Amino acid sequence: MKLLEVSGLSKSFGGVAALANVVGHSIEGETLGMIGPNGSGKTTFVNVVSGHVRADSGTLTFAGVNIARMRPHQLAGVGLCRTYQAVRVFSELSTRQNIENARLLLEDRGLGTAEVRELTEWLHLDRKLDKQAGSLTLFEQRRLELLMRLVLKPRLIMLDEPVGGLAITEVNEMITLLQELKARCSLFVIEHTMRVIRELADRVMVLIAGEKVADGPPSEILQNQRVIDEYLGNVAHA
Amino acid sequence: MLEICNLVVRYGPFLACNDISMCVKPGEIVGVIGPNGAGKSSIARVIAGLVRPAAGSVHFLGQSIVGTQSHLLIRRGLSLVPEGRGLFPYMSIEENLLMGGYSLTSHERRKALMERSYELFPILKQRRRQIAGTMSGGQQQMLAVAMGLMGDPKLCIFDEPSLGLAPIVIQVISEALQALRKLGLTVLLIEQNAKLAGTVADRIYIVSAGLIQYHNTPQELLQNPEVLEKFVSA
Repeated sequence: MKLLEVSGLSKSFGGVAALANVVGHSIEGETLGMIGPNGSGKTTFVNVVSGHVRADSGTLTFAGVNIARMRPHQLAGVGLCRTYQAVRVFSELSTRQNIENARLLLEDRGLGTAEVRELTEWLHLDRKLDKQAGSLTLFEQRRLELLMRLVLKPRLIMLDEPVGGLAITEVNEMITLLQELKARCSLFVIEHTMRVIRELADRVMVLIAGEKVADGPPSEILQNQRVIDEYLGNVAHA
Repeated sequence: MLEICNLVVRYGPFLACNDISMCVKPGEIVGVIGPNGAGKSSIARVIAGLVRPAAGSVHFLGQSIVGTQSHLLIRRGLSLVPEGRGLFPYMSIEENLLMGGYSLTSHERRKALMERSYELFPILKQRRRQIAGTMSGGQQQMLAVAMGLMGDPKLCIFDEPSLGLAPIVIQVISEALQALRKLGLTVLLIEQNAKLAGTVADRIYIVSAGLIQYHNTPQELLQNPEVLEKFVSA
């Protein structure tokens, strides 16, 4: 079943087309990857789909519902949420208070206390509950941000560079967590670390200069000559 | 060129660096890699005069620089390209480059360095009137590197220049670092991308929990299974 579906999606900032007539979809249960050069429109795509920025034109549906004019909190209510490239938690509040704040959004429609406790343990945050979020490591903050979305019982989480800035061992741990997360909900992942794309994504969309230029399984996309020429280059550093 | 002995850095009760000693010789590219919170950026910040160490010494070109203000260090030939880039987002590329070279007194030298920046990163020349904040992340990082070089440094410290960049842009940064080596610039490269550091560095220090855990050439380190597992093989 198609979960997220976009058609003719365009967005310009001044004279610059960040998204140009993008067409695509994700399927329930699938992990869809998105790659592309810096400035190719990937984050704008997430900003538009997640209700942070309104598209200039095009259609947007989620589980068959028109979401083009929905705000982020309304999208959370239908099961669509996102994380950020630069992690966003309430740094002055404790881990526990961050989680409780996230739960306020859906009130009694979100996860119950026992389920939240199980997630907290799964994400290894159970011993950090009374710590100030701003004092957590980046990896812990990324896990907290993820937990704050999971309490909303999402059907699709859009992850914007989930391993950005993490150390090698943390990247390995995050990949394992995200592999386990695939059993809980559908994922959309933007990443520059190709190992994440290879190991997590069932399918990959490529944006270059705001246009979708390829869409297919990672094994095929990472061999695509245009993707190599304009994005991957010498993949030794990826 | 740079010698750090028994450096200790504290932020309140938190010990960021615990007895770090390292050196950088003229013309070398030296990598410092390690996980988040290892103390890598603290080393860079101490060298650049942004943080005063709790103990230890730092000598640049034979002179102690602990307590020397950053703008004076730039005049002595030491630049830092910080993590997060430190651009002026509402200024053009050209204006940012001029700001990078503000300490130079020779107009001719400033002009020559600007040309060198444009040779390293031709896209900056094509877009020299574009406002920096409107460029892609990759182009902004190229500008940050170029700004650091506009101070005409003898030693340039790059703090996480590959963070958040597409693979092909990391390749451009890697090639630029190798071009700078040919020009005789000395580089201290702080990186989490061990593959990038391994490609360009002559020697690598691996820092973890505020301590240097390993120090060797990339070729030697990449044969150490423990190093590969903990710091390289993502």
